[in-house]
Amino acid sequence: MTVVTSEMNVGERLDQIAASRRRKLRFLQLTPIALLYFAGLILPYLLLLRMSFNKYDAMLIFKETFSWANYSKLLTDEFYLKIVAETIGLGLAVTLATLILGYPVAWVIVRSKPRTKSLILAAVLSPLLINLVVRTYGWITILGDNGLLNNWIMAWGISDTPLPFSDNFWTVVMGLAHVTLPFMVLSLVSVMESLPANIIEASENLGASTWRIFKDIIWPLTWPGVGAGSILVFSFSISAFVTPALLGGGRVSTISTLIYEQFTFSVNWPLGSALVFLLLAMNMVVILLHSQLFKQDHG
Amino acid sequence: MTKSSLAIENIHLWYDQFHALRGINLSLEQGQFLALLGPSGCGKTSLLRSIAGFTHPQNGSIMISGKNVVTLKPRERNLGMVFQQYALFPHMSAAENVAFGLKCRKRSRSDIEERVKNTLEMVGLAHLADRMPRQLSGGQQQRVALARSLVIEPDVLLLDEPLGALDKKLRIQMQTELKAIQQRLNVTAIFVTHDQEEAMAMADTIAIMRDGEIEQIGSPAEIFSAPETVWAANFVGSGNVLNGKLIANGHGEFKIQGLQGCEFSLLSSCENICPDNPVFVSAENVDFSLTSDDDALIVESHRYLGVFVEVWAEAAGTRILSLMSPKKASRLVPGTRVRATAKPSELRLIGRTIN
Repeated sequence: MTVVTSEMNVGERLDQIAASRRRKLRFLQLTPIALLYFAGLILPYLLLLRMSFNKYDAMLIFKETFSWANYSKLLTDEFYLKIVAETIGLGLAVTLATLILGYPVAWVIVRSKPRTKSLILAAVLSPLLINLVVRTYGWITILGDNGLLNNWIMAWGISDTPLPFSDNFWTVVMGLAHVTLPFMVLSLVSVMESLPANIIEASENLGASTWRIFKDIIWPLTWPGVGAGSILVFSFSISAFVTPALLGGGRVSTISTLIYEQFTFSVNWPLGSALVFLLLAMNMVVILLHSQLFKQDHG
Repeated sequence: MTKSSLAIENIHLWYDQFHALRGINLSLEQGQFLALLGPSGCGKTSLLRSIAGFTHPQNGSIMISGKNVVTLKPRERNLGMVFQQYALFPHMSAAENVAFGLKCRKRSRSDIEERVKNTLEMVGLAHLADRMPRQLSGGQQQRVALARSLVIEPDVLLLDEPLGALDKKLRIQMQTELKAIQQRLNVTAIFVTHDQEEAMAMADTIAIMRDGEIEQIGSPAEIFSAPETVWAANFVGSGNVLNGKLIANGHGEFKIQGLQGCEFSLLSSCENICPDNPVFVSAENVDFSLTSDDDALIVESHRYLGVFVEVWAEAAGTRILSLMSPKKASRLVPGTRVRATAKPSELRLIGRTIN
């Protein structure tokens, strides 16, 4: 009897030692990244959060108070609401553009032989290899008033004055679609590659037209990839700063460019901080929406 | 009304340089159940996919119910196909899967509902109509796939190793069920398999394929008991294909000479057997008995199969196999000298001898 209990005690003790060792190990493994996140992300965010409740002061930059004034201003003032709307519109336009451009590309990639596949994949990923600023100025040299395209147009006499290809909403959409296309394509490729074997042949055999195969089989089965790609592209686009700032030529305002203005030119740190949290909230909403919309209905 | 429901003439298929199908000819009556049997790479799946329209033979014709379909797209051929991994639509319930082909044919909603219900009942899945494929077992998925391809009333049902993914017990049960359904509907069916037992159990006609050609076609009994070539005999039989010379023994019996340690005689009414010519013979149910003679086979190895033991014996390059009870096998340890005998009725002359 005593032997049994002592054996149980030994067993329990060993379990405890093992568990505490596991805890210690896990703690050690997570510590560096946790410290980095705390110092580099959570702490600054907390400081910004505090700042967003302060009051702007022309002399002192800000006055310590605790008020919701900045937030209520952002959510009621038509000027800011318009910028929020433009930001969302930009995100939607870029998402739609990459979806329309990326879907056929992903399809071709998945159905290609290995060699062609890696070639097209490399081409699709190439925008990520070029520095953001260089890539953006590249577009300006093509589309600007003194750009390549306008030079040709005027040389051929199609128009006497430069056509407005640059410095507008659609230039920004194009610039952002250029960078975000890889995210969309990769998300779609990963889902398309896991389509069950022979599923298209099975639908052909059952008499389905090409359109029906797409509508009833391929589109619903690739829906999770569409969702994952869309959320990546949308979040990236509404948070982007360099592309709207440079390609928009000052005529396209998004929340990001506004934040930049508030912190550098207007020196209204409290309002700028509130904008940061508005953008964060928008990204959160998108993520929540995604998890609702793209629930694996067969998962 | 004996118009053949499927007639294939001189089909040739190349994949680049590889000649996958080399002049296939086939003809099936309505309701016939054909098994395409052969080792992997023999072209059986290529032939099935050519009929379905997924691969395009460069030469020949495929007539389905009197109409040449080689230029038609798969969806225009009205064939049912069951794929190896079933290829069910994972986002559709069992009933929706079955309904898909009818929707493509623009049938009325009430018609679709009724047919789906009847077909699911036929395969014994009416109670699982609303389940998603991933909620079904392998055998159940198999039945959904079968129902999906039968509900459209195909001219020919094509089955690409449909039972390959099931465990043995379930496979045997599905074999029986599949055959019963095929007979009840009297649908012409073609079944690809590499498992000869499966082919024998289900089909009424077996075509043995080898290197893109049909080696032999006939009923299971013909294929098993009268293989036409050494290759077919090796592929289908129990493994004893021997060559020797025939010597007339009188009374229509021929002794096979030239096989060390064997005492085989053959009953044959064939007039054209030319004694002294080398012949190939397949021998089933060979028996081993102990001997002290020099003219003997040496037991080489055992392979335990449960109810039976495979015992291999060898002499002068000829290997002979005998199936026996474990008890008997335990007396024939490797190295033992044995004599092989078989009843004359268990020996068969293989049709074509040169191969």
